[in-house]
Amino acid sequence: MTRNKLKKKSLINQRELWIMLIPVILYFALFKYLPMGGVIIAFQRYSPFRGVAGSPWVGLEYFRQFFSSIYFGRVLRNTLMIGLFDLAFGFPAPIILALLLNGIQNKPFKKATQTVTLLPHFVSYVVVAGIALNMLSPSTGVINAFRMKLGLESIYFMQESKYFWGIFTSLRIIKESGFSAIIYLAALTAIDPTLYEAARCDGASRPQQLRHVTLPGIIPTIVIMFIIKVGKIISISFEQVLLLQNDVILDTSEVISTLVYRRGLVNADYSYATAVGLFETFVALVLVLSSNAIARRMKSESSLW
Amino acid sequence: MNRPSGKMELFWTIAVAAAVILICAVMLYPFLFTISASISDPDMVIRNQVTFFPKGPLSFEGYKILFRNERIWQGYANTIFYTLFGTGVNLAITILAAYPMSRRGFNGYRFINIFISLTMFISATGMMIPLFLVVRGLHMLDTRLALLIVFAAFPYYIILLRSFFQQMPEEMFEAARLDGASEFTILLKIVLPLSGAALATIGLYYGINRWNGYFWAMIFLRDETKQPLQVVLRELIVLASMGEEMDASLNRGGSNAEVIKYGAIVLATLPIAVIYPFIQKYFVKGATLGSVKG
Repeated sequence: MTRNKLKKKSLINQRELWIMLIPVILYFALFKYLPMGGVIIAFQRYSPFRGVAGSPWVGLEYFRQFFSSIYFGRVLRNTLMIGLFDLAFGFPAPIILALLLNGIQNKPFKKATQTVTLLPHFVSYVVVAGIALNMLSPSTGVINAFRMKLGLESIYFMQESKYFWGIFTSLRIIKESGFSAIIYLAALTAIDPTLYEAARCDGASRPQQLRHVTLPGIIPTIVIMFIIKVGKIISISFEQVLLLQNDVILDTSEVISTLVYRRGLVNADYSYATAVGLFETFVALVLVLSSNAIARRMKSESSLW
Repeated sequence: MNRPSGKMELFWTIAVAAAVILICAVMLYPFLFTISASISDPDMVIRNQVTFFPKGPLSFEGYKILFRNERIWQGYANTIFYTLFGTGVNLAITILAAYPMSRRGFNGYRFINIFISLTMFISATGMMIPLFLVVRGLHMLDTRLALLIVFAAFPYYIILLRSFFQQMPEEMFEAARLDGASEFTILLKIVLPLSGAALATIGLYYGINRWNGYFWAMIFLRDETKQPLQVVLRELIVLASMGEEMDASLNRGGSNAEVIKYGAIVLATLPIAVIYPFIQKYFVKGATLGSVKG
């Protein structure tokens, strides 16, 4: 036993492996852990000239400022609402898409449609936002052109607060459904085909097969994905919101992360923005850890069957 | 019970096909419209006459102006630079982290695993300001280096590659070690040549990220000659659509302003659209890799 262990040990050169890890450790230390430590400026009145060591401590002042400002309620509501919209509409969309794609029997057609639905995922946010803003424009936008042909008046979509959540969610669905559907398609192919044969022999129609064979087969995946999604409810795609929002519709489009960007990187209000960011990190962490714990538990339970 | 009637079967087959075609149409339409608008008569575009296909005499006015524009070319060249070298840095760090972690008996496994995995739980929003201050403190603002090394690796891909390496037969490593090969030799001569598909998948994910990224490039780089295409594009199409000032050199287009925007979108997306059908299978593989292992 010990000899075996010794032999194993000599077959691996620990020192060389550590040398390989030097750039890795440096990278994570410098650009992950150093910024993590840097969040202490949320408790300081940080001045770039004095640095972290020389700036005065102010305790929770910036947190108090944030919680008592009108921004707190607003960004919390917008962040949660956009997250809930995404959950209500963005979550079922890829499942429906996967079920539809799975229902196609013609192989080349199936492949072609998957290629098309996956494509928007690889297009940049800037391009998606650019196309959307152009298509929604009141003067040259094709959507308003359609409306005018139907005798309706043209709407300035990006200047009216009430449309923002819907527009953002629609774009996300178009961009990401194809990609999110992959995981459900994988689950669907794992369903035993003899189950379908048996169902057909029993006279089950397509909707009945869907209800009694297909859905039960992918329910575990759906549940796990749902829990993970709930855990990420406040971590909405910040870059996409930033590209679509403008000053006129900030009341519905300002979310926690864009507030951090505006106050911190635009106005150089570093301590305040870091405090807001730290608040977000804390809430996001609690959500992710609890959803992970639930997902893990469900996974181990479902694997028992 | 009866067998389902052939009529109903046919109905459902057609219904599913129709729904899928409709979804594909919705997803493809914005691209079709953009391409059509970019080669339509500029006046037709401004008067909102283009719906599906190019209207008026085909015009490449927008592309002509774009091809003469230095910022677009500079942006293109910068993006190619950041994508090539950035992906190179990404893969190097990912491999250097994944290989030691995959070696059975490595005494630092627990430490490195926690050290890397922990960073996955920290939200990007919370790190935004401190990360910016760190980069500024290192005097790396406005340098190309910042963009290359600040996002040198994603923990998720390190873990994916580690799992891949771990599936290789242990005897292979032992034999190589007994022959006196160093860990570096094993990595370079044995492991990497066998990892083509995994490295292609991960490299493509990193590469697309590099090609499409705009936010940190916008924050780190003030110098226009260093900015990637997406930052130029954002100024050109997103800010211009919001009524803000457009880049002066391109605004001279006058009535061509709209076709220029559409042309720029086409130019920025074309490379991805062209290579995408060939690399699609790697992406599908990558998206399901993590889930299969649980």
